Amino acid sequence: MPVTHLTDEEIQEYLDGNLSHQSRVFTEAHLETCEFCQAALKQYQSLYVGLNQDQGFDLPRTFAKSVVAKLPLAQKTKSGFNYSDILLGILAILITAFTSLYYLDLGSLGKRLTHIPLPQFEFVSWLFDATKSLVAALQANLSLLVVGILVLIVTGALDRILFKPLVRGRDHA
Amino acid sequence: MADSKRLVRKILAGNTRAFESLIEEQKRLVSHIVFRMVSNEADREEICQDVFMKVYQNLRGFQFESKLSTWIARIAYNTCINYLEKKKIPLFDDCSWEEKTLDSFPAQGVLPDEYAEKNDVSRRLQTEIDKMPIHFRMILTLYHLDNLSYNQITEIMQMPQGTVKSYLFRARKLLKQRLMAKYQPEDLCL
Repeated sequence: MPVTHLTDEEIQEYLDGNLSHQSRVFTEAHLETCEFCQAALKQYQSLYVGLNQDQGFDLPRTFAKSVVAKLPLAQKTKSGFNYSDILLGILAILITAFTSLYYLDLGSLGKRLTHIPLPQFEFVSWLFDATKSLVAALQANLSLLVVGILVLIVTGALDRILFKPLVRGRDHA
Repeated sequence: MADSKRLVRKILAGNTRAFESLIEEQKRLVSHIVFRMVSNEADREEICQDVFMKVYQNLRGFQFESKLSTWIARIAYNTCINYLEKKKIPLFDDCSWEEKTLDSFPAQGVLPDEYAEKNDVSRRLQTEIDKMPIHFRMILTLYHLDNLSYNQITEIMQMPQGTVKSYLFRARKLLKQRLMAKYQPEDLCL
């Protein structure tokens, strides 16, 4: 009666661990008695060992740094605002708004519009009065200080948000 | 996946250190692909750099539909295919390759006698792999060296899973036959 050997595909599937339980049992039973298939299995096992060995396709240690160095700065910064930029922007807007309220006498405008029952306006008037009282309580002329801080913050915010990506990015493009 | 998302978010926020660590994580896989597909040593590192530049430029469009490593490997594979096409290096037809005799393939600068002296099984194996068609080489590398699944290889090479599986079986069978025909089993420890 002719012996049916395992096919190459069956041996590979066995080594890959992809055979069903039934097929695996059958394959192992056959391998126990068949020297021809044992030899083939051994050859494939050695081949697998060789294939699984890393051949040291190594890139230089400085490879990552050299790639990053090649990135244009415009690309590095175009990803959007950082949280610090956003916070700085919000702070600048708030200070600008409060200073405007302080220096522009919106009180008279508010009085003209008091007949309009808008709760927001009452709040703005209250905020305005509260700010004024606070400044009066401090008994100091804070205008110069406020203007100085305002100018610094707005300039810084403009630099970080607008000018840095535009000007420096263009330089490195 | 969560770690990949965090890393990608950092890179997109302009954190170049995060990109550096992505390169460190993935350079092994990329180098395996590039070194297997491109035989010209002088061009290999530049191609690897090109791959990561493309990764950086296209990262915003990555939607996490696959693993980040699979997406990067696909970029590496396509970059190599473009390079080979540009250099007019033919991608062998696998069927005709199987019909060719052993002697019809150039020894690529290493003679069989030298093998015997070196007694380096691994090197012999690598030389035989380098003579195989690119698709065979790629599948062997991705499956055995990078431990990728059939699904991942299918995604990277844009081939049906059945084809990937068939190529893998044929590649291993032929590799074994060629080594056995060319060398004594004791030389190869096979």
